[in-house]
Amino acid sequence: MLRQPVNLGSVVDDLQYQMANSDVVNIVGTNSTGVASSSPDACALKAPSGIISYEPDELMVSIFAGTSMSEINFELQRVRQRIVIPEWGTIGGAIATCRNGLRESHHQTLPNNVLQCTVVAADGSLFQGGGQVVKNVSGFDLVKLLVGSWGLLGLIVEVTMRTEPIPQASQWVQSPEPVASEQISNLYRPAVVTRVDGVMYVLLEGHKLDVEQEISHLHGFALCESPNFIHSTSLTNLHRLSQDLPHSIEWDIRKQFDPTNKLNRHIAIQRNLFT
Amino acid sequence: MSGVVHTSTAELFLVGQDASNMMGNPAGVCYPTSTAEVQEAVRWARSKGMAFIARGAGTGLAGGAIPTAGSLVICLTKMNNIRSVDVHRRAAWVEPGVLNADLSRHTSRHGLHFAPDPSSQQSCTIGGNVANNSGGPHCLSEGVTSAHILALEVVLPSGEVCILDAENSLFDLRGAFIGSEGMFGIATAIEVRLVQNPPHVSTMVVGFASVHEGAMAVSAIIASGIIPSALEMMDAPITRAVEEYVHAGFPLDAAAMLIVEIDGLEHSVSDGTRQVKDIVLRFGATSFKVAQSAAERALIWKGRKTAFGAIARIQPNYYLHDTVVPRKKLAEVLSQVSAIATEEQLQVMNVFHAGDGNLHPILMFDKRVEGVMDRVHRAGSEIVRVSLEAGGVLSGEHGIGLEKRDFMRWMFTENDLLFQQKLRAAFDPEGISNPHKVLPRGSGCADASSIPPGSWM
Repeated sequence: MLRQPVNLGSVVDDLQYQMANSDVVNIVGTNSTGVASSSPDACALKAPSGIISYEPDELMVSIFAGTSMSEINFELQRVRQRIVIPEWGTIGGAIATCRNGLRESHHQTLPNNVLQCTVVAADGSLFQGGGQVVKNVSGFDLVKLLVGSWGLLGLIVEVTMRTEPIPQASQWVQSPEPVASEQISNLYRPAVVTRVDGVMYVLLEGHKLDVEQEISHLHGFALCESPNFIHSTSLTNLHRLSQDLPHSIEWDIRKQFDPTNKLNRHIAIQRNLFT
Repeated sequence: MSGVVHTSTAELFLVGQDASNMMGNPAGVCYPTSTAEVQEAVRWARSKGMAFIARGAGTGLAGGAIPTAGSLVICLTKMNNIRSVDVHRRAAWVEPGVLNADLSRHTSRHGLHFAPDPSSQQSCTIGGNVANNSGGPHCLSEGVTSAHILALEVVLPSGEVCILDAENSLFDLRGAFIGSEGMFGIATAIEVRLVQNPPHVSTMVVGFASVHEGAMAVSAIIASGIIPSALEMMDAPITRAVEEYVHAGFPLDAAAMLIVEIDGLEHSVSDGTRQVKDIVLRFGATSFKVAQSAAERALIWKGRKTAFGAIARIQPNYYLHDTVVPRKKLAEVLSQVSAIATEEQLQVMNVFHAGDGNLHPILMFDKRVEGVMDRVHRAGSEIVRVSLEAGGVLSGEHGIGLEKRDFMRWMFTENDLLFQQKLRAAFDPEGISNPHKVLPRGSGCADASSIPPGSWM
């Protein structure tokens, strides 16, 4: 019983061919992060789009990585489910840049919700990490490595994500005044706690009555809409620069996965991972 | 090396085994008490051309802690300090030898706990949890170990020390390290995330007339949009064995029982409990009981987590398996497992994390019976096969180790394995950190040449 390579159709076959036959490749989505550059000599490759399979009862969806987040969440919302990733760009882009949003609660953070990735490697071969179940410790965790890898290790073409039920109630509150830290620490697992320009924002989610009760314990807060500032957080990941020792491991990983520096050179150079 | 390397037969015998049925033959063992001493031990092993293997409590079931012949065992049980607890950030720095349950006991005064709760939590270490990306019943809602580790201080196979966290690298090296079964280096300090203890908890015990109905109820609960904090199943043989041993009040007339726990704020718990009751009754539940006190709840969990102790009363030996299947395939795969056991004339019991689809069939036997191990291994590989055919994976929480190494080609292509090997090679180019585990031989794995001859494998 040997595992046979997955067949994702001719579009992925074509991407593999182009990858294998290009010297320089830029991986592109919708450029929602604003960092994609267009070197004139680069072959721009984009993951296909579309939902491959969705099983609401299993809380799991398999998607081509070029699918837009708004399309995915539109489908999921029909059965009151969601993937908590800010609603712009593609799912592949969100994973490649670890676009987590501001979620505090761990089970809602992106890396824990990516169950499987299928990748066109720099040499044009196809590899998979993870599996299509919610719990999996079979082998080394290529999925965690790929989340936030900025296209430096391969072109993610397919992902399987864990979905979650949309909570009954969801309410943002804000306080422009400094807030006693006990107020926040007394809340039970708020979905988001963040401070922007001196304003404290909190998102509470769950049973309607529980959310109301939690809000009633807060002083100096007012109900508010979902704030727009979430958009501005996506670039932070790229700008946290590595200076330390693990750099040598990152360098080696990059060299192992892309020995000819084919992928996303502009990011590799910026990150000092141009091997 | 200033630390002592012990070579007495008795000590090597002890560290040559873990909770699997395998046995290794190390050359020496040392018990460092600091990161510097771990570093020294790694450098010493390197200078001698020896492989090394980190070891915690040895509770692993897949042979991940079985030392290869001639290797140095670096036993971390003396590094068992909780270095600091940051109540405000809900985080703590701990050493790898801290016992899982001790950490949560230590932080309970702050209303916090470490969420991963493997059944071995009274004796397993946090370092071992990191190496195996351990789970436990409550990982259904909380996520596995990886979701609860913020940073790692690691001694790399090169002997260098570094911090793996979100700040220091572009790639998630922390995430890649967790679950690497000791093959990427040794974690010498671990920053864990602590979570708030739930203000309300509802623990239900539900009996069913058939395993099939129980399994269908599991799928229906998940599909309804409730995420219980735990959703466990026990079949009748294990329920009876446990009940005689623990007296937890489990339904003895049921063919299968579920433990369903919901925690959180008041209304989500009370509404959730009501919804679960409706669902299980719709799927033919024959009994439904909610724990009325903390003591009653503790007894239920004691029953669940000491299940393996109860088995010793039935047969002297057991083999505990670990695969994951899609939840909708639970009923089907459970009946296949039962048929496999019958075919090999083995007794089987099931106690497992149903909400995750994480099966734990237990094959029971007396190893003094001639030829029984062949039947046990045949049944085991059949269980793996039917799980993979159902769309599942090799392991949900025990890891690959030696036990499932040669099944990896059933789940992954050669190219998948090649990229796993590339990741390993970036951390451990010489293949000296716990060699020969996880990746099957011939998958571009460079380990073979770097360990002394006479390997037991």
